[in-house]
Amino acid sequence: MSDKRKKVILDTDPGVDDAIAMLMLMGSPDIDLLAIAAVGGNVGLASTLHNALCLTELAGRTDIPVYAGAEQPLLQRLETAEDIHGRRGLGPLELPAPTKRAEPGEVGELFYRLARQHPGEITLVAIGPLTNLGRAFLAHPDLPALLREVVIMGGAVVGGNATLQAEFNIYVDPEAARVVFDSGVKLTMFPLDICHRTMLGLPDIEGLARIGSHRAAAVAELLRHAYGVSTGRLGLQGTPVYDAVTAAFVIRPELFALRDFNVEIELRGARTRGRTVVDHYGFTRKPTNCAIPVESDTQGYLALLHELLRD
Amino acid sequence: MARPVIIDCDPGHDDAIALILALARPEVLEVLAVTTVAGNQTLDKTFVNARRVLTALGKCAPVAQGAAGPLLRPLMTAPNVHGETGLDGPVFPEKLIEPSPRRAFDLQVELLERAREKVTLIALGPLTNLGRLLLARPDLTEKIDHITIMGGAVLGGNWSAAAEFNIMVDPEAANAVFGSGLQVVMCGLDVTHQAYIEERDIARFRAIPTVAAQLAADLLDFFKLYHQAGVVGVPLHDPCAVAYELAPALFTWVDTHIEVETHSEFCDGTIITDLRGFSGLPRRHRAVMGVDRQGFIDLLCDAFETYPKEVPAL
Repeated sequence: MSDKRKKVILDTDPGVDDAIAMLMLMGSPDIDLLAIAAVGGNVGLASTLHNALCLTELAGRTDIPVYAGAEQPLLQRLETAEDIHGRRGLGPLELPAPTKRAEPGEVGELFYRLARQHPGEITLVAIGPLTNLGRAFLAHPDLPALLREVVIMGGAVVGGNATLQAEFNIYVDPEAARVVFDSGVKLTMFPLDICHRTMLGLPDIEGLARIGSHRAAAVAELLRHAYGVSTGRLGLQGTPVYDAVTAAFVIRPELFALRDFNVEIELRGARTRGRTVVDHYGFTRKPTNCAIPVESDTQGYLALLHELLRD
Repeated sequence: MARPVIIDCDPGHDDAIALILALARPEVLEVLAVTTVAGNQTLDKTFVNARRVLTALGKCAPVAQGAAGPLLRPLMTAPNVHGETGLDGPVFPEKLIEPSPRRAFDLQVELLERAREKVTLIALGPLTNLGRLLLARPDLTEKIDHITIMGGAVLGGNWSAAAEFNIMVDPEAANAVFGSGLQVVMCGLDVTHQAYIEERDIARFRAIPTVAAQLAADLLDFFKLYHQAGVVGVPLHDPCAVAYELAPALFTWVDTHIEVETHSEFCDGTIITDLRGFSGLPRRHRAVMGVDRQGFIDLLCDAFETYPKEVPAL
């Protein structure tokens, strides 16, 4: 019997919402998670790698190899977001030290090797800055054509969160984002906008806490932290768990309606550097290069979380 | 009592309809002056066009000529939208009302210095004249109630992926206006694309036997030929700004910080808002986001009805 599971490589910078996305993908029977690559982003690489290793152990998925990716963006210094994610990246969540170490090897070469092993089959899910992916595409220009698709969490149609115009993941490494968006790869982007329309409230979080599994308890603790940041300092009505929404799409695409757009990455703007410039009305007539979710099923997303976090 | 306004414009088909709306009820809006700017077409054309519209309507207000081009960059015009004259379509009288001998800047300064109550500025073109005024005479902001503009967009653009024409033509001037400390009410593409008209609306205008309704219908028979990607019907951009002044209850909005990108690869003229409120910057400006379309069309028809059936030649 052939394996119907979706082959996924996850590129991530855990990160509170990354951690939830990781647990979702590791827990899904529909996903064959081939490898996890850490990148510097929400916190530095040492912490994101450590967290990724800890999370594979929490999920009982030490069979999935974890790799150390880029420590710094392609052309600028790393900026992190400890104010959102806590000093070590997982907010209040304390996990036992990992027993396993990262696999040796360069992440770009890993992507290329796996893509050649499974041409046209791999979904590369990038939920941190796009440094690893940008570097891999620069090293191997034939890599985009070997991937089935790339799904990223990043960017925004309107406004930003790192600046008025730039979303954090793109802001951290806009040059890498430019490489990915201009690569011709089949690309889907989960921007701030849809995530802000797919938020979880406190009753949703407490409902997840009642599932009772170790993983659900960890997710609830992460969500309570995210909820506090979102409704406190950010003034939102719930918590938009960006990377979890993106992971939900990877596992269950039918929860979202997509539209194709042309999207450029602004690199020079005095006020707009790192903006994903979405041609909403199609004015430029440039070919579309990116699918963007325009509608989501929040209840379906919540139901999926329940399904994935049960033991 | 009528509220005093100065209208800065670059007619332009939708500017002309906005002028019809603004001049319809002097007991509500007192148009102290119409100042012109280069935008939809070059300055000589927009200056003549403003006088053509007022002459055709039998209205008189001082019409003064403003800036021939943006503060710091070369002019872009939109002949593909408005034709070679900037007001292609209708037939206008040969003899036009006399222009004001004053420059727009001098007239604006004089009117504001003299004003006993605060004046509202309505800008329907690139913000060059207003930017210059506010940069040169920041003391006059205390004479200005607020500024309502047609321009910009929270979402998308119509002259690039992310910029609307009026703001893209002169983004530095736009930044001077948004940074002046005054409230700017921005009627951008978000609302103007909802304020569209269809053939049957033009037919309804055509059936009203006044000079204003006939002029509007003639203008729209030309203006409807320009089809913009991704847009329903014919958006009446500029009349939105005047309609907001006459009937704000027709509109919905969000108050937010607004600034403009002026130095970029893809985003010059992009409106930068803070709808999520993450920045903590003052929510001084108003992004108008929605309109009751039928109420808007009715408002236009009511305005058309106030005009005579004919206007004697000068």
